[in-house]
Amino acid sequence: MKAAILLPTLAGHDAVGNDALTMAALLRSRGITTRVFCETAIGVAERTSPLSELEGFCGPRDLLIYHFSVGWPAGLEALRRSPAFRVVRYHNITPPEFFAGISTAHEQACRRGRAEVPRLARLGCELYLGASAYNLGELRAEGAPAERCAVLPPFHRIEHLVDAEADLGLLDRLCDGACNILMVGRVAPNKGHVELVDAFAAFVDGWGDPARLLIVGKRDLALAAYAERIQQRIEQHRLGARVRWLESVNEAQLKAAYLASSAFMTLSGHEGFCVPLVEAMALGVPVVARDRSAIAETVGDGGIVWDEVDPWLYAATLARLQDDAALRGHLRERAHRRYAREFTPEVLRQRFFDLLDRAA
Amino acid sequence: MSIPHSELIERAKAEIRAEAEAARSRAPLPRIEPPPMQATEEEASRADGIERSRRSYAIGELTGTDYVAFVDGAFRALLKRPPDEAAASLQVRLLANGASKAEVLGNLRWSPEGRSNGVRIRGLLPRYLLAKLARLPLLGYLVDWSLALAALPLLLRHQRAAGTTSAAQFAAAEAGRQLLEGRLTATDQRAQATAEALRALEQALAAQAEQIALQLGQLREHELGPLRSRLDAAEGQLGTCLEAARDLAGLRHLVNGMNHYLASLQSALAGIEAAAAAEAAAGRALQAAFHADAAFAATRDAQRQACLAALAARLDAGARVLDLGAAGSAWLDALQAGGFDAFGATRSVDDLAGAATAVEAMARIEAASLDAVTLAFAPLLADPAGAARVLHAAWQALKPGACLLVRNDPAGWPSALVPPTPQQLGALVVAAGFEAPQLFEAAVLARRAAG
Repeated sequence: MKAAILLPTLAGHDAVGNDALTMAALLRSRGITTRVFCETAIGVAERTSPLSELEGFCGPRDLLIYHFSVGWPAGLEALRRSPAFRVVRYHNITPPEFFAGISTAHEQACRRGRAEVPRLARLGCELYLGASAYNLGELRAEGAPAERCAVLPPFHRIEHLVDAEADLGLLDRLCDGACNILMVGRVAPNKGHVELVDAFAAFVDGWGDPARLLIVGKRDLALAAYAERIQQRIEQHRLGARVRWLESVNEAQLKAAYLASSAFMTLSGHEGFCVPLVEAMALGVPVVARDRSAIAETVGDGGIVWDEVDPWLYAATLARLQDDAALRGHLRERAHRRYAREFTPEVLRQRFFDLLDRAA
Repeated sequence: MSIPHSELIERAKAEIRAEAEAARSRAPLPRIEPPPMQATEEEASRADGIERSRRSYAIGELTGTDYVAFVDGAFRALLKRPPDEAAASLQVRLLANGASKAEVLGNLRWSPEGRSNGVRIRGLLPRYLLAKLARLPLLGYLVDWSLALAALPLLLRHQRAAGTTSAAQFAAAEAGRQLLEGRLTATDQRAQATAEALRALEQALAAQAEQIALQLGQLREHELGPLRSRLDAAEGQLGTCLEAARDLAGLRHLVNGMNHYLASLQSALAGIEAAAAAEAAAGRALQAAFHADAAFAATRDAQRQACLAALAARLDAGARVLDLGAAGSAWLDALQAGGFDAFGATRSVDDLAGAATAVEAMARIEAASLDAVTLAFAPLLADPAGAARVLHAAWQALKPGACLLVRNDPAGWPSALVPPTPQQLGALVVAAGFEAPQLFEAAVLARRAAG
């Protein structure tokens, strides 16, 4: 048996790329010859193959795992034609409405991707793996058979992050007496940065300074209008240098940001899973989040989740976490237990192979 | 009892909600800026020369370089990152196969990553489309021909211009060639001169090397002679040391032998001492047995009677007799019973202390006042000096012609000493100034000489 991992773009340091590369490594660890097929590879050591070679590689007795996170008609067509044991790994696609008025290209790309969901769900693949129950719900709503659906949280590099040495220089600069509030995620309109800035401003006004909002995430030039909107909101609240952008951080800098932060807060409007939430839980940073899409499911009992968007609620939660050591300790303990139970690499590895074996 | 998690969180959320409501109506707290961070990560990330915020370029800005530099610049401008090795080599291969720069730029710009970045390059799209159109199998050939035909007048002008440019460049190149040739000649001359200098230097170095080798040889001879003598001397010393070591071994053998001999001697002495002790013990036992023996007692009484008879033959009754060393003894009693004016002085003269006491006692007696002195101090023979002092004191106390009787009484004789013979006692008293010694079996009777 051979295995093929199929995705349009393989990037070394994004959630989908990590998931795909880890799956390839796990399959190889079982002695299965595995190749990654993609159109573009960015910043990875993995040797990839073009889509045109997939048909010759993958036969009826082989395994094909398609990572679906963006519209890709060629990939969908290759999946449709493949005689292999087909697994669809659904990472979710951001609803196009988030990009309206910000980036037509993104809006259209998301719309095209969303349009592929029904076709994919009805393709009769042997296994549908959702990164969350929320993702799986979308597939099932479009007709994916329940008995072929299962949840498998994405593979990640959190263990590396836990073991990594923090950037001590950055840690020193951040530990200057200010209360750091952290948000990690690419700067995209579904991530709720504007609402996050509102909540942070309420915290500064209601519970005091000095405080700092750390926004870690890559800025997309095509989404400059969104970044501009965030900046305007920062100026509107007169937050000035209290909001720090850490655009291109490495593992050590990310670790330093987590260690220096009093809380991780996200008001994201749409997440298929949200790996940074699990990073925060693993590193013992209290989580405050907005209950949207898969967020509440990922946080579980490891943080405080609000359904409302009221910035004062989030600000008051941050203040409570600052002052209430017992609550902070309780959440930290719950978060650690949840991570150990649901998200460690060993748990995910075992679940991955169990699901494949059961489906086969 | 611990509160269930859900209840704890619900309670906390209710309190937070109330606090949020309260805070909403409060006046904002005064702002305190956090201290500025020393350097932002954005600033650090820009150190790689990528203009991340720039979103528009002209084609000419990106095509001014060639080969790898062109690909690197294109990646940084369009994808806002340095190229990875595989992608860069792919684009370089395309260029090497005749692809235009516009095609490479278009490939990057309309890749998924390039689309995501959305960088604008003015005038790139039609050129990229034409380049892609020319890649189509049959149509591309026709397109290439059409483009070539359409561009023919322009190409002719370009060719003429190129001819002029080429001629100018050829002239410039020729001038440059001549200049280079001149420089080459000068360089060649300098190289020859340098080679000559190097050869001379080489020869000088070779001569120096020879000299150094010679000096080294001399130095060796000069240094080796004394070293050899010192080595010989050291070897001689070493031989002596080895000899001494051999002697030392012999000496050690002798010492060991001597030790053995001394140990044997010590053992023999111990044996002799043990034998002597045993013999002394036997002697004491024999003496005791002898004293207890009735025969011995009879002999002693007979000897006493013989001595009394000899005295009585020479002295008158009532003669004044001193018995030294036997006061209160049976002999003194016998003298008194024999009619002499006998008295005793000192109880014993068996040792040096007794001799001194006897001399002291006789010093209190008037000189030449005694008719006879008897003493049984044969033990004094063990100390000739003491015996001489006692006999001299007796000589002084006796009248001229008076008698000295020295008894060899075995009863008072120390068991460790061999009893003297009468001859020995006679010689002793003669030496002390007495004369005409008469020897008995166990006594000597002599007369004090006059003067």
